[in-house]
Amino acid sequence: MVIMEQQTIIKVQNLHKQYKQMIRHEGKWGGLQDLVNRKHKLMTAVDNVSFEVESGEAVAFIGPNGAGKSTVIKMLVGVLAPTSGLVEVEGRIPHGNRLENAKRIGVVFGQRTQLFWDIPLSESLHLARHMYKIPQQQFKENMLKYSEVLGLHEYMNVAVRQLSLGQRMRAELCAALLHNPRIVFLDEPTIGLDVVVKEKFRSLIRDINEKYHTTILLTTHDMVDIEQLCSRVIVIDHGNILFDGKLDQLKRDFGSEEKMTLEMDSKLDDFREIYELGVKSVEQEDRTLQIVYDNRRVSSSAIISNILSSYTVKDLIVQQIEIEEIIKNLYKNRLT
Amino acid sequence: MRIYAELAKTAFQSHITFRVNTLIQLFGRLIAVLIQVSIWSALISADRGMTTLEGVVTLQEMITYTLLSTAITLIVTNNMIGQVEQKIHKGEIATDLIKPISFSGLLISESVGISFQRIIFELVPVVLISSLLFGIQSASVVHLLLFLVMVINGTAIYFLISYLFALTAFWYIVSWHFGALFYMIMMVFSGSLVPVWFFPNALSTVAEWLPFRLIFYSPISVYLGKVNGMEIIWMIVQQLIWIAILLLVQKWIWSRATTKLVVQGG
Repeated sequence: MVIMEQQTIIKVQNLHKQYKQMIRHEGKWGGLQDLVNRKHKLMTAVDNVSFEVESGEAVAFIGPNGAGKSTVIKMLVGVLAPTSGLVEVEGRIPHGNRLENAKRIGVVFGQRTQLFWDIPLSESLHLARHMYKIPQQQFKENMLKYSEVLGLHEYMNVAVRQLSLGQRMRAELCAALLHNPRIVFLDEPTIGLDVVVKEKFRSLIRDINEKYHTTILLTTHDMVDIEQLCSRVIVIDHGNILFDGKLDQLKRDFGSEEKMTLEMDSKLDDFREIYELGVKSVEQEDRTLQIVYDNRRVSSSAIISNILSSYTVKDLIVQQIEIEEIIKNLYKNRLT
Repeated sequence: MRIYAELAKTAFQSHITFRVNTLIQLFGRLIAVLIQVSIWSALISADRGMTTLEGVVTLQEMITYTLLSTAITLIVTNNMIGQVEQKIHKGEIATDLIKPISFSGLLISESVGISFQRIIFELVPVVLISSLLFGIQSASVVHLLLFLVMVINGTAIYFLISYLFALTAFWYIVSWHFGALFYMIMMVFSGSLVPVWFFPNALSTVAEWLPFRLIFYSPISVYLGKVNGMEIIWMIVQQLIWIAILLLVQKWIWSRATTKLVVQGG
């Protein structure tokens, strides 16, 4: 199948996933009660989700822990079967055509390893060559390129179980990309990584998205991941899609709040002037000043210049809103 | 196909890394053989042998039986039930299923790799040392070849049965009790410890209807020349029938297991 640009590559319609969860009895005799009288609760992990992704897009799934992001990803890669609804990846149903689907996608689960635990990294990557039937030439080129960018040479001969998290995650990304997948699924790939490794990850992912138009689907809690990689954001919570659109729009509509923290030389006597600018709240503790404001109503520079006109500022930080805050705002917005 | 050979090689390599483990296991096997040989020596008179339903069994035959049974154990057995339980329990199954290889193929490759490791580092030394110590009865070339064919079939049967038990973890998350149950039934009815010759009538009828004796008892009887031409062919046919049945059941259970799967740990 030839994939042309701007073609729908992922199609999800009215997707549901439910599973049974055992409820344990509490207390001393709880274990015995569980034996005789077992209670189950039907959990809904994904509740009527629909979306489409075009080939070459980079989409971020965001939402709090347990929102259903990973479950959606696991259904897209063919690990889990949907309870009802449709999932199609390149026109195939992943769960029914697991092997065919797996050949054409790359997956990184941030908290698991797909490398072989007891053998050196180089051999583990070599297995990937046979697993995905990668042509020798392509394997060589990709190995050279990715091990260079990700800095894998130093520990190619070390058993995977002896690698540090950062080293292993870099290797995981390499393993997921060697076969030039059409779609790359990244489930919290940057979790627990330091800034340098995160940067390497992002630049490589951006690179394959821009150069090869590889479709990217990413779940993350890191706002920087999204800003640097994805133009489109799908917000999911309690198995529902709350928002699906451009990142700019999401931030404009629900994430325009910013927090400014200032280290002052002296205490402020009154905040009247600052409030007149239209900020939401001002708090002062000792010589630290915290101002929360909506950047659509007042710019950070207006606030700073106002303060600087009468006081000396030692240090200043402007923080953007956290994902969790955006989701809270989305909820408030839905309820009103 | 290449990938499965590579996976077997990988399993082989990862198992030879742990040398102390290999040495201790070898030592344990030797002790087990020694105990069994001592018991049979105490039970069977060295010159008259022992009369059974299938005729007279000599001490030398029983010692050979013990050695061959140990050898078959090293070739056919695997720890698949524990392995799959671990994969499900920890959620590692997710990373197996994103690979473009079949799950049963992955498990076969791993157990073949481990079997090769055990053949080289346990079977060969155990058989060499014990045949030097206790002596082993030789067989005709035809019987030896038939024995090997039947052991290979037996390996397939053992693999398929343990695979079915292993898949119960997709439903119950924990499956080691199934493993223990399987192992105990197998040990008794396969004749791996006590040959079916010595079974009382009722028990030997039960064994007759189960596939386990085809893994241990039948190939060893062929090696020892206890069964004739037609009987051998019938045994091999039975092995093939069991393999066919288990393959069908396995396919059906697997398709249901994957829809049952819940990945633990998010």
